[in-house]
Amino acid sequence: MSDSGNMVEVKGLSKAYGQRRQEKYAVYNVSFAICKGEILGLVGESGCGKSTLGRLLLRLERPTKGEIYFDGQDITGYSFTEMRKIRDRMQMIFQSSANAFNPYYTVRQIISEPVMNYRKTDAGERDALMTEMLEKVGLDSSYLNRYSHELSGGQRQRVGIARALILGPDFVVCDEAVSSIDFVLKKQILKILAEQKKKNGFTYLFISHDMAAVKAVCDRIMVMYLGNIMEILPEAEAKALHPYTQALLAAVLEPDPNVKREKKILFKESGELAIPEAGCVFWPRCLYATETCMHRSPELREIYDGHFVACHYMKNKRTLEENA
Amino acid sequence: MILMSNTPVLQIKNLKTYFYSRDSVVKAVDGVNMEVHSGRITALIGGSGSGKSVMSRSVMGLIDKPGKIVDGEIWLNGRDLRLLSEKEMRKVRGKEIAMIFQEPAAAMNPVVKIKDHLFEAVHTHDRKARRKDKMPAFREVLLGVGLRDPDKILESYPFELSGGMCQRVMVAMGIVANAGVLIADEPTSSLDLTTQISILEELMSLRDAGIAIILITHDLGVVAQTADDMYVMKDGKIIESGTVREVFAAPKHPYTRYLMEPVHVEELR
Ligand SMILES: Nc1ncnc2c1ncn2[C@@H]1O[C@H](COP(=O)(O)OP(=O)(O)O)[C@@H](O)[C@H]1O
Ligand SMILES: Nc1ncnc2c1ncn2[C@@H]1O[C@H](COP(=O)(O)OP(=O)(O)O)[C@@H](O)[C@H]1O
Ligand SMILES: [Mg+2]
Ligand SMILES: [Mg+2]
Repeated sequence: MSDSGNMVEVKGLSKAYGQRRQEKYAVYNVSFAICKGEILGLVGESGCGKSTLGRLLLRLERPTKGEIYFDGQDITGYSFTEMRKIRDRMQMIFQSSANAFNPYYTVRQIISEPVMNYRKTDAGERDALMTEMLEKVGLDSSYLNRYSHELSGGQRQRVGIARALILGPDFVVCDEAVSSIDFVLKKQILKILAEQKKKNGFTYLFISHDMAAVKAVCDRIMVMYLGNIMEILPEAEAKALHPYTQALLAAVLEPDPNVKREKKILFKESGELAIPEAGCVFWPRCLYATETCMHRSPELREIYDGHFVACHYMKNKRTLEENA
Repeated sequence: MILMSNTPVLQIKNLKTYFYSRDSVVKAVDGVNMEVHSGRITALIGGSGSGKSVMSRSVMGLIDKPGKIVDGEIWLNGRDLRLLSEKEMRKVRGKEIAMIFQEPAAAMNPVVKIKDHLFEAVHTHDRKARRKDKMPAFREVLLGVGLRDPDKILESYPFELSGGMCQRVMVAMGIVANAGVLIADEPTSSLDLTTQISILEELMSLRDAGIAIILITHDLGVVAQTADDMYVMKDGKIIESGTVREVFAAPKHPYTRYLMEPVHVEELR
């Protein structure tokens, strides 16, 4: 039923944690698609639901509401066994994956596990496959017999990527895969991911709070706030229209001492971040909020070609900007 | 008005810290020279494993076996810290020099409440301070580092807070320590950009109040927008140093140039 150009598509997807009265939405009524072969960036402050959304797309969690399509199949209600049949087509790379391995496993044990689970191969074929993959991430076959604890953090991170990509997945969720690692390694890993996408046509959801990394590799950028999508930028360099995206971007520090950061505070500091009783989730911190915003929640609308914004006051804001 | 003196408050000369194992020696810090001035932020950058944290812990006198400072001098306020006893060093730590650790979870006792951690940081240099009197100041500082519910935080234990929150508490401890030299070891690396800004602004106001800050980071945006001087470290050695403007305008070492060259967007997409 779903458009064949989409690797992943979700409709009205929500996830609530907690029981009845206490329940809290980590992801609320989101609808979007990721095209085949694209890298979609996902940004937002911590706790806004990025990881939850990533896990939902891979059906590592059950949604509270909504539908999830993977390459045209509705996988929303798939059982464990049904999911297992397509698990090798989807993978996750996360920040702590580097530390998640048993330190007394060898690299061979770590990387061969998914191959043994999903592919009929003999030891020779597996070694060839693993060597090829290790070379792609800038290591070589001499690492196969090394123990995880003997590797540097960066080497372990690469082993994690090799393991995630070895089955040639169609779709990969990278959850903070380059956050808080040093720049040398960050550059290398971004290159590996981008190369794999180019050569093998992988599709990624690239979750990160590092705006510079997101801008460098992503085709489009999606912005979340308290479980809701605020804006989808049709390209990495597109001008942000939502006040929340503008505030996030204003916090990016330019790596140039001659460009002075403007000390502009673009949103209100509030108490505990909490979903307001009614209206737009962002209104308590928005500099432009009006009565309407406090009562009515804005829908995510396509403002023009592929640029989606959830805000009542698009026109006014553009005027504000132009006058600024 | 702060008078900028030309004498560095902290001067590190030919510092060498090695780690020994049965069959090898890791020269984590291998002949570092560095000068840190009051009222300036000195950035220390370098890839992971280049020796930044070991250098900082050496200055704090916190190197344990199998590590050892094998050579060099660490001059702080007119004396060489290497010649002090552990008892004398304990007085220096927290009073004259404080450190925000890279791994807050490891640096904070899990069964001590945040308010007591903060009080300990004050008590080290101000023996007469009373816990009760300090609470309003603690609330201010916690708000300053972007912790929105200070009363709840003060009564929490470290294990009840997220990693990012602990990192901010660690920064707050560094601030209330009120030491003349503050070493901040990657204080914002796992935080949101919006939170990062508030922490950097706190550090800049400490700088403006005359404190010398060593800021360890791997974010060139942070260096460019906050620091005055910078040192680039690689394999335990300082390979380049200068004012931030000088180094950004004309990086001399090929490694520094490699770091500064932006990720090529087109090539990646
Ligand atoms: N298993 C869980 N049980 C209860 N609450 C959760 C669980 N996982 C996440 N949450 C909550 O959902 C919200 C979104 O979390 P998360 O998806 O991890 O955000 P992000 O990845 O953007 O930091 C947070 O408020 C978090 O506390
Ligand atoms: N306790 C230790 N035992 C052995 N080697 C250590 C220890 N601590 C650090 N090292 C080594 O010292 C070098 C420098 O580490 P570190 O100062 O933590 O780097 P950075 O902070 O620049 O990332 C690394 O090679 C590291 O493995
Ligand atoms: Mg997350
Ligand atoms: Mg370190």
